[in-house]
Amino acid sequence: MARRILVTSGKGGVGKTTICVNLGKALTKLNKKVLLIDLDFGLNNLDVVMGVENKIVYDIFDIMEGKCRVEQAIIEDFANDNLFILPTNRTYCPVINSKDISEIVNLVDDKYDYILIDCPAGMDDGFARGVNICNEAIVVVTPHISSVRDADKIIVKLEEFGVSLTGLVINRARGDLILQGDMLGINTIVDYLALPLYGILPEDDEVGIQILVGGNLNKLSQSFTAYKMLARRIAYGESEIFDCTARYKGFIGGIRQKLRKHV
Amino acid sequence: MKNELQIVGERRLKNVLTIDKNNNPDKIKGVILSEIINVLNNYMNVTKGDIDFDVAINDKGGYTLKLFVDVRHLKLANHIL
Repeated sequence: MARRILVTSGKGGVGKTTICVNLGKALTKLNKKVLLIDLDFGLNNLDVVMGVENKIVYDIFDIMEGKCRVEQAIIEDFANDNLFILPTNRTYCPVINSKDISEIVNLVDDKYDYILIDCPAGMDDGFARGVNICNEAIVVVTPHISSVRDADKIIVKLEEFGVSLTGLVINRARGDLILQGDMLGINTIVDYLALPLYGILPEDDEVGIQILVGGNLNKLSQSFTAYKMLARRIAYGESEIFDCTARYKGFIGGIRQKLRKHV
Repeated sequence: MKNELQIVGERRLKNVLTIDKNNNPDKIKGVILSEIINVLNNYMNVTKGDIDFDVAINDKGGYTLKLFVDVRHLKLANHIL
């Protein structure tokens, strides 16, 4: 059986879709077979971030309507052998409930090691559809008050739905600002949300470039390293977490910090 | 090292989390209290009037449950066991 992990946040725009894709890619590097499912109906972007938007023939609604089999709708990533996506591709969305989704996921559950669900922002129907088919969740936050506030509410909801294992990922952390005290500290966020910290992902231009052109992250980028650590944390429970402040410490780091602030 | 901005940010975060939690209706407090009374009645005879119960927001933005119960007798052990 696959580990089904919901990637959620409460607030929109914190990077759920990007994390879904890059975590999926990092897990394939650990020889895991991963399926990504886009449950963000109507505002779907998983296909675009993954760079497979032109390969979609069928989507999750076609399976429901009996127009195709699940296997026909699933697309393999061109750059990663063990990464697959079950897309959604409709502007108008028919009514779909957790039971429908659950039946579809159950059909392919034993073929994958991980199923990552890209959950829509908010905590209404879309969230309920996703959380009902998962027993684990990753709560994504950025170091901003609004994001942490919404995450706090989502964590309560996850507990209500009986999600047993939940971890926190802090995305778009800027080490220079954290060191200068111009951004919420990592410890503050972890203390208030009281969840185990799975990983820290840095604010990184490489992610923007990756989304622009499709494909994989630059292996020399900070984000690549951070995702690798996150994947190992999730797959093997390893405790190493990316330190986004490291490159701004010491003499050279101090210069880098000043340059980033003033240039 | 925290500077003034970070301290202000943390204070604002704590403030919004506290406001959100304070917005929980009294109804929830009532549900918790009635569950507590059900559990306690296995071991002692208590009514709502015997219990001083409150849910307060703590410094960490979480909750502290305060519960004081006045009870004259515990139920006999053999009755419970």
